[in-house]
Amino acid sequence: VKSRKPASKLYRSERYAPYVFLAPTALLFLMIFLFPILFVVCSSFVNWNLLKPTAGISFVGFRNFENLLTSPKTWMAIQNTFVFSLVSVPLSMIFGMLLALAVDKLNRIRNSVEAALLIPMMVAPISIYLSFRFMFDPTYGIVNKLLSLIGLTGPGWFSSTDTAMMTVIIVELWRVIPFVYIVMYAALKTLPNDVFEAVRVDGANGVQTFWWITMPMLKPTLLVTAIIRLMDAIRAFDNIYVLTRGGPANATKTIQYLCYELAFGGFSIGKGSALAIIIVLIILITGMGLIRMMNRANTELV
Amino acid sequence: MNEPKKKINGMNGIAARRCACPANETGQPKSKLGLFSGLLLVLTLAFCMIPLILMLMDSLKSSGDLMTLNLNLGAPLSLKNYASVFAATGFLSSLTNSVIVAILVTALTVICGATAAYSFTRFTSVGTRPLSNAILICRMIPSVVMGIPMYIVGQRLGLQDTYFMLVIAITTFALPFQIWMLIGFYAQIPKSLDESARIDGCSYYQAFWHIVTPSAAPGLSATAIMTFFFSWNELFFALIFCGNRTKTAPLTIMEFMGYRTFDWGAILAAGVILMVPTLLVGLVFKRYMVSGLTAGAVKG
Repeated sequence: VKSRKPASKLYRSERYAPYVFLAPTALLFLMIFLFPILFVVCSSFVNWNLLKPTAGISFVGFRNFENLLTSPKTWMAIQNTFVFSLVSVPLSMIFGMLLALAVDKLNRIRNSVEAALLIPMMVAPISIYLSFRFMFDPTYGIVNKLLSLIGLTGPGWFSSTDTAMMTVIIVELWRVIPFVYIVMYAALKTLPNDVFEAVRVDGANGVQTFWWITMPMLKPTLLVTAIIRLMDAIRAFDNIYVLTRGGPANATKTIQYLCYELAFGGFSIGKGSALAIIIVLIILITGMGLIRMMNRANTELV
Repeated sequence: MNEPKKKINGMNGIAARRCACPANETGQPKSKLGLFSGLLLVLTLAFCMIPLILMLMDSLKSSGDLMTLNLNLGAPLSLKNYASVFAATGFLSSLTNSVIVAILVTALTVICGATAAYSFTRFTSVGTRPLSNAILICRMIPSVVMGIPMYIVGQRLGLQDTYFMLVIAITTFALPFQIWMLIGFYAQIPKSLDESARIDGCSYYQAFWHIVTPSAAPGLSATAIMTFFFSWNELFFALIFCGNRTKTAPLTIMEFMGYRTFDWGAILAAGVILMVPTLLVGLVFKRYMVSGLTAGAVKG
């Protein structure tokens, strides 16, 4: 509190108001931030397996990191995570954006289309993963049944190493295209009207208007949405757990899933912590770059 | 942000502009839905809806009818799968667990989020941008980072398989994003509002409770709905912390596909049941949901 009021009774009782309001969050933040991060940093340097309680905890230096970074399994997981993120995020951004522009052009049926596109955001993703898992079942799934009707043999989808990642990405797109659309559509509605009037008078066509007017004005929103999407994609876990459990032959194992397996499948706390640190570093490096870009875009606009 | 669906005056938004002046639009490209956009719309709508419709249809068919090699369109429909899902041991109690956890997490997040957002928008001199960046970074921390220490602590303190552990874990993970959303909502409430309340003799606490919080109700509702959805769908912490007593609905459904052959009819029926609560909440509070989804990304 910066105000220089005389020390009245009211003022004195309120001196701590900012801290009182922050207390619940600060407490929780200590719990999410400081304690777990310190804990994970410390335990990443030890050999600690909960399944071998007699072995105890012993300091091993950087050996956990060494083991992880020399293991092809880790690099496979890192590669899978990058493929998953770098394909699903741009595709969802492009389709979501195009969808927002298309819905914006509708007249009569717009309300019903809007309502229909909200439904994917209201249903539990786990249910949808189950539905997709059955749809893409190689023998009983509807996709391969339909393909066989037109004389094609469908691939194994989730059960083949060649198509598993692609199928996981298709499911991810189902979940996130509506999200990107909703955000972009809301942003589109907030754009000032007079700019569009002006370019229309100047005779710009639809593509020109989009590229030179709409896109630059939407840039901050696009970037924030891309950051959120990218962060969630790098941490992908639920979809992998329900759809493939990382299989077949590690073809869809993401870093977060591998970390879960190490820490809670094999109960190797040391190795799991070391991988968790690696994930945090990957996320921070990508995230900081994007946040810097976002802040620059914001400053340009203001 | 919480603008009404139909805008009468075309002051903001290109969508409203056309509604306001359809007469003087002669041959403008945007008034026509092009072939490309039309195709995109139809395909996306189909892509979005087909898995849902198929799931609903298939959940009414017996597993025997589903596991055939032909399309079997004429299979009889019945509610048998739903009956068997509800009869399965632990399914009803896991639904109750999910509801309890989701409500507790939502309550805790709204309390912490509202006080934090008030504090951040009213007291700090650093400004909201570094702050929201910091929170955005918090949001990037993967859940395993919290999962490992909390698991160890929970095990040592004997808190495994309690609501407390699960609620705290989900809250700490959900909170950064909810604060980020709420800062946006609270920043929109003019400071002059609580300043005048202060001049009238309100303390900060009174101003928070009687003046600012009621004005922030739409934002709080939006945040609450998002948190409810988030904790309803939570899988990671549930996998780590839940035992038989606190098992949530997603876990029970995953168990249906655990052993032997998959009983797809029952799995899909359970999936449909899992969708119902959030679907109802979403349909009833549609407007708040949209503002919750777009909060933080769109400056309203």
